Amino acid sequence: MEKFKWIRYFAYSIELLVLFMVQETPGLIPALFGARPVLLIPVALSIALFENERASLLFGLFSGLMIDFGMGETLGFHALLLTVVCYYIALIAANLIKTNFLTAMLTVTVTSAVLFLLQWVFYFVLYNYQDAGYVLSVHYLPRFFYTVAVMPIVYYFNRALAIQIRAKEE
Amino acid sequence: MKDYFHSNNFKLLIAVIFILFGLMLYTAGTGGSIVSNLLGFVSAPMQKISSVVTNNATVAAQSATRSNDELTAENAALKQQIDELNKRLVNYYTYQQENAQLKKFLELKNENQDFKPVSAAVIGRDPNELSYNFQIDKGTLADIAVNDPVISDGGMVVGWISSVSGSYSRVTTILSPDTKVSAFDKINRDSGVISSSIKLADNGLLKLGFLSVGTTVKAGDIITTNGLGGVYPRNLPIGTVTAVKNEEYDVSLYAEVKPFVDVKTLRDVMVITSFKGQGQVLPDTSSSSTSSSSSGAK
Repeated sequence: MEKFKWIRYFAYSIELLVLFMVQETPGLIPALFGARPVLLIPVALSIALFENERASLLFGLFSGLMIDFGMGETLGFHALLLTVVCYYIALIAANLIKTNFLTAMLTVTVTSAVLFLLQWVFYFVLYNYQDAGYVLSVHYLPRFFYTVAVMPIVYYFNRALAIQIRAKEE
Repeated sequence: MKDYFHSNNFKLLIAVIFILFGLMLYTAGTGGSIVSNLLGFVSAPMQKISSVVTNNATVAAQSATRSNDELTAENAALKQQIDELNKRLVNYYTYQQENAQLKKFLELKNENQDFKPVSAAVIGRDPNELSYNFQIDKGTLADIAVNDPVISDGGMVVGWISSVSGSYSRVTTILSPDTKVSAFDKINRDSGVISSSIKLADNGLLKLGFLSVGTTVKAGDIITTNGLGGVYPRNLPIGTVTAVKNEEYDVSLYAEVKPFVDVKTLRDVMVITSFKGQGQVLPDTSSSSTSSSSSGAK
């Protein structure tokens, strides 16, 4: 039975790596209003909805490190945020809320909003660059909506993955 | 609740948070770490393959997916272009003299025998990136170092190397607010500093700042690097002036410059790993109208 758990984790790792490539490859995802989605955020969150705290924490950490690496800025910023967020989402999903499409959308909306807002503050406002309001509305807002819009596909894919492998486990 | 704080998972979370804080402080101080090198070592080859596949697919899709209407429209556009080119030919002799002068500055290969260029492919563009910075597939193994200038195949300024690892490097483009390039007008030799903001970058424009009130810079002038600071070689073409405007908060003027290179869609670049005067502050030989800041990036 332990074998299926590791197969699931291996599948998540491959999913994260592949989507990181897709996210970073120039011209692969069409830009909407000049924005492209950060695919690893919905993936990390949807994994957290189906896995235990420890696994969620580690996948959050891995996703965050990949986002930090892709961005080329301080390593650890997104890793720290996603580690904590994924840990608590897994805890809440196991004890307080029911995992369904609505809660998944709510999770990604709130988390993405907080992440992008903090990104804007720490990587733009605090650097004292010009046109902070313009950047928030023209760059961060479309990216936020695009990232949230990806969640349904990612959620149902990971749900199918979790259910399929769990079914074999049982 | 008490059990929760004593659980192994919670202890693991706290441990990871502390480690990540340490990592953040370390990378903020040094600009790199073993973790980022490791991630780059794993991801760079995959990104390279994925970029090549995407580029080939894009080229294949362009010819396969075009309809008759699109081809007819393209034909009409090309005919119109021929007409325009014929009209321009009339002015050919007028421009010949000017062209000879400009050519002198643009023929990089003849004038810059000291360049040691390394060609590289763009393998990564992050969605979180605001200034169109990108990642290339060559690093220290190809003798690339931080602050090396990056140019297009045609020798136009693209940006500079802001961080480097064994197998990949990051290029901060000329559209980034972090880029400051000492430049001058090739026609009248007025100097200024090329910079940008996110708003200008979105419109694909740069700003040649610190121009004096009596500047003779005008629309259509060609702007090149002037070699001060030793980050960029002298005479690398940057762009053409589209307009001269007043600064918002002082009496000086600035020129809006349209870069020759569209850094948003670049696929291949050249990194100049060595050139005469690299890292040295060169004397300003142009008859500058204003004082100019150091060349290159921050």
